[in-house]
Amino acid sequence: MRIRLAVLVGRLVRVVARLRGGGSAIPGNIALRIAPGFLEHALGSMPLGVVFVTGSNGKSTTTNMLVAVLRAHGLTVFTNPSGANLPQGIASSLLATVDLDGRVRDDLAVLEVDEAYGVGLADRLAPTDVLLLNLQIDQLNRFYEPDRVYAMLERIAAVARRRLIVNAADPNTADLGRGARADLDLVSFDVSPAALAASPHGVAPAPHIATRGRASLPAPLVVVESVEGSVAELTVDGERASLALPARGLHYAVDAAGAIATARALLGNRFSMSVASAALGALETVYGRGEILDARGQAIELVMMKNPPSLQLNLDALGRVPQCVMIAVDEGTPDPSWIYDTDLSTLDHVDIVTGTKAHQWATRLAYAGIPVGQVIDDFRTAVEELLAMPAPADGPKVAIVNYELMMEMRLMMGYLDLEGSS
Amino acid sequence: MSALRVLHLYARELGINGDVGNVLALRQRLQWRGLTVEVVTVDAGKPLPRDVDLVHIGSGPRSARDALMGDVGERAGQLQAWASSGVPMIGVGAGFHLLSRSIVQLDGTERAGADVLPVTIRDVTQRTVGEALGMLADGRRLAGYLNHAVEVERHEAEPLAQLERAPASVSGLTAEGVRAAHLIGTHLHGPVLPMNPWLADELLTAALARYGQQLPPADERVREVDEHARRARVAIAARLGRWGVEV
Ligand SMILES: [Zn+2]
Repeated sequence: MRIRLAVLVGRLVRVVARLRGGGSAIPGNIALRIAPGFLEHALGSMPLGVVFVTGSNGKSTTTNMLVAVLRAHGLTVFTNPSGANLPQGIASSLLATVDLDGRVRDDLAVLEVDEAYGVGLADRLAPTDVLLLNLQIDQLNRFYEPDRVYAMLERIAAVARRRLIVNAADPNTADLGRGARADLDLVSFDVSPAALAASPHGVAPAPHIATRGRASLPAPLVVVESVEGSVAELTVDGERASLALPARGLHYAVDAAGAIATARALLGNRFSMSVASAALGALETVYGRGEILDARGQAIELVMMKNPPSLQLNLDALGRVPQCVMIAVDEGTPDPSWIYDTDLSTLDHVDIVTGTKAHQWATRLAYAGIPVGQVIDDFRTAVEELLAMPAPADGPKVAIVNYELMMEMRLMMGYLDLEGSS
Repeated sequence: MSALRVLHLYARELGINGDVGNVLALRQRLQWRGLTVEVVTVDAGKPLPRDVDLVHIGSGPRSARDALMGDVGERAGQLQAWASSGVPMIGVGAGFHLLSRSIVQLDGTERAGADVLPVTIRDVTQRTVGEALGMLADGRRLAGYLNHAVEVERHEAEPLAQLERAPASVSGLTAEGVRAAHLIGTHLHGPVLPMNPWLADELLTAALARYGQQLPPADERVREVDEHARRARVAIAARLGRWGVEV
């Protein structure tokens, strides 16, 4: 009864919220208030299981890839949209798909889950499979220390009922694999030393904590052998395969390796690499990374400043020294100290620095010897200034922004919600 | 003195809060003034150079700090000898803790530090996280970001600064870091030296004084970067409700 009510009210709120633009977590929040067991109920009897995808970086990309590969093999998959990785976000996306009895009818669920909320979600949803991508320096204002995130991933992995898939190239997730329960099907994916050496900044793991459990991981099911631009060479189950990535960079290849290893393990003999390649080749660029914003007819390439590894990867992925660059940061990044860890050699100047923490960036840039055109305190004024600059010859203008200012920029340009429809 | 030698100890193991920016600031502030500088990085288990002119240790997770206590213990004699010969040192977060007399862990175990800074560090469960503004006895201000879970017991040394605005979660917390002449321990990020360049210059002045030299005056590049840092501190002060104070 409560479930039915939660679905009905949640849906109603969802319709209203969409009409008003935004507020995507609110309907899920309300549904969870009416029926606290809504998530367990909705996802409690998935025939092929529930897969959790978690780690510091690449959650959205990998989830997106895994879902595409599984769907291409004919499975029906429930998933949460990119970034909606908290319980209320998952509940909101469930509202769009469940029947009135509150149950999902798909073959399986693939959920991107936040590391911290994933602990509670794991207890509630008892995932069959857990994919651990990496443990990198991320949101220290929120997580305080990588040690705590390690403990979170350890707890999530401990709840897996069937399988644990780990990134062997990240010492922390590799260790979590070695520490896995003996009854779990342990699967790993890896990066060849040559591919690591060829990448400007590697896989950027957080400081490594401990070695424990099984002496070694099983031989990797998928290995990234090399990455050339946006084409990756992989070894999958002993066979070589070439793969088109959604953008250039080793991290996309690692994400793809994780997705393929998980799909291969889930599908068994039904897995086909050519089907997987075609599915991955058809993917669009994931939201928020390397995204092009349509700013009143002008293209702006967004480089997200989420945490040190992702900023580095996104800068590396630019593939050029941009001619027209703005950097913007505000309170959404509580402690931007880590920008001193970022290799800025892909920038030879910055035209505009803005946001309430602009002068922290300006200080950083001065110490790196990178000239700054102007610091504009007001963000909206700065965006107008960026738009007024002459069009560069080398591609779109580039905006290096944190999440909050990206959202404000989208709002300025008339984007109404996360999905990008205006 | 051919080049001023800055030792960046545990550069690989510690430094998750951009602490390498402290070393960058020290290096650039010397180079912009026409002095030669050599940065030496030493990881755990690797030998120290025979002599250094300035020591920096960065911040890191508790697990990394605890893993380094044995290593720093083996270097304690050398670090103490440098400290007593006037070599300036700065430790940030875990680096500050490693330079302490001892660390009392959550389970009550007390472990010896390098015993360079006259403090005892006590691990606590409550975190202090957020922007902070501190004032020195002479009225100067320090700004930055705190993220730690310890209490500092000072033995015969003064705090680096009194906090006039600190993260709300911590009750009764008024003092930040420690200062014993040319030896400094702090929890401030920013990183602390680019954010508060006068502190960088004090360390450099102390390092040069051992050779009877003075820090040459700032040039245009130093003045420009310091103006950005000043406005970064002004913004922090404003966010903490201290609009318009002199920073
Ligand atoms: Zn330009």
